[in-house]
Amino acid sequence: MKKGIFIILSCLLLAICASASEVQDEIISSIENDLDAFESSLPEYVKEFLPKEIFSGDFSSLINGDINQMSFLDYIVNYLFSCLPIILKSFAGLLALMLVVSIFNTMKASFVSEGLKNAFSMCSTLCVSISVFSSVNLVIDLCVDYIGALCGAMNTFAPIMSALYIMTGAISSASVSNASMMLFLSIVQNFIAISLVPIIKICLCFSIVSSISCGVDLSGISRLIKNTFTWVCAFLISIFSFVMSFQSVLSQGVDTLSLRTARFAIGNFIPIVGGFLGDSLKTISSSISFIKSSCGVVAIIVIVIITLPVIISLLLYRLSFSLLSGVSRALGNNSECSVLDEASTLCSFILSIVVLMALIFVFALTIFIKSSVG
Amino acid sequence: MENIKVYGIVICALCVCVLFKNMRVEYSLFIRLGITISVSIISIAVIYPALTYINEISKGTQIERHLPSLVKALGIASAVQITADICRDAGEEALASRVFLFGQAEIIILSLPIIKNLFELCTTIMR
Repeated sequence: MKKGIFIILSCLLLAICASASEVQDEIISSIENDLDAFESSLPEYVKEFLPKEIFSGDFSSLINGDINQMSFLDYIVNYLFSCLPIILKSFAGLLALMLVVSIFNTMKASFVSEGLKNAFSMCSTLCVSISVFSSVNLVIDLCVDYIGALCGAMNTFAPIMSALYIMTGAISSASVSNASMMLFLSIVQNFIAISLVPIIKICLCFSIVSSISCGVDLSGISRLIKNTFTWVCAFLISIFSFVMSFQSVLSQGVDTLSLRTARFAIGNFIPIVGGFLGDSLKTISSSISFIKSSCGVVAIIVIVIITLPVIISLLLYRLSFSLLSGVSRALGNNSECSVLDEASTLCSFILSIVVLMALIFVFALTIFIKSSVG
Repeated sequence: MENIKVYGIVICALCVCVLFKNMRVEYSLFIRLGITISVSIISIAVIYPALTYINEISKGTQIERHLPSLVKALGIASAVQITADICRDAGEEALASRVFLFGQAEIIILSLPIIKNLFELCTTIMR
């Protein structure tokens, strides 16, 4: 009799263990479509960096360290060497133009008529402005592509987050995080599309007008618009972070209570195997948590890979405009110097917005990774 | 040695002009006009290789498009300045002012294609 009960209990225990080991495969198959959609939304250069098996649910490369520091450094160095020739070419062209303009300005000093001097200055400033702002237009295109890639990736990752939250038993967290993530994504996409890109373009046009007209100085208005926009973005992102944090804490508390209640009920009301089932819930929850954390880490890596090239390009452009401004000031070309200062300020403004956007998504994913129920 | 010859010619012309100013004022004006134009042509001849070199090295770069406009603007300004100086020397201030006005208008007309390109860039950006 005792032997029979022991055999039955052993079989049940083995069955539970076997089902626990198949949990990961079932989870991956249930989110397979979402993982495929996430993979297809990523730019090609991101897919080239990540191991292929990650998108089929094999996260062993994360543990083994295939995405390690050296290959990441190689990626940064390779990108730097690929974008450096383009930026250097633009820098060299503008530098040559500055030198030619400064030579011609020394000859301008011999003209007696102020009107003639002003007319010649306007001509030289126009030539410099059109060259500088053609480069700034490339920077704006870079920013627009980055926003599209980032929002596309996060749009396709949000369903994966919800599915994994639900599988860990965090139903309240799933609904709360999904709602806030979707809301933030739609705010970002609409806000950025309606306001950020037009604001950058308006500031650029103000700079062009200020540079070509002697009496009209719109740099103050441009600076006010940029500062106000940055302040509003920082405020909105702070509010979002605050709301997400306390929503996450509260919903985790609710989910923990629900899970413990379920575990208690299973353990006490199911005879004989109730205790095993209660403990197996914890085992299954832990294995799902591993997949959740891995998916979160992959998403953070994707955000970093998308953001880093843009930051590097913006920094290089900003450095080149600042250097040119210094050279221009040293050569005595004051009106051309103000054009370059404005271009440098625009690059800084775009850089701050890019970093803010990346940080808020990384923050949301960190909450996703760190949240645990039970 | 070439530049010392030019300085010598100018000083000789100055002496001749001062001499003729007391005898025949109109001859002094023609001498001044002749020497001014000659020295201007020599200056252009001296600077021409530098401009040609700048044009050569700018081929294939982004400044190739706008450099001719800058050089033309400088040439127009220099020619206007020389003409206005001659008019002033002859005592014709009104003529000199009109020449300056004409020069400014020419430079603005020269800048119009660049302004047009800039506005096209603004339109592309705003789209």
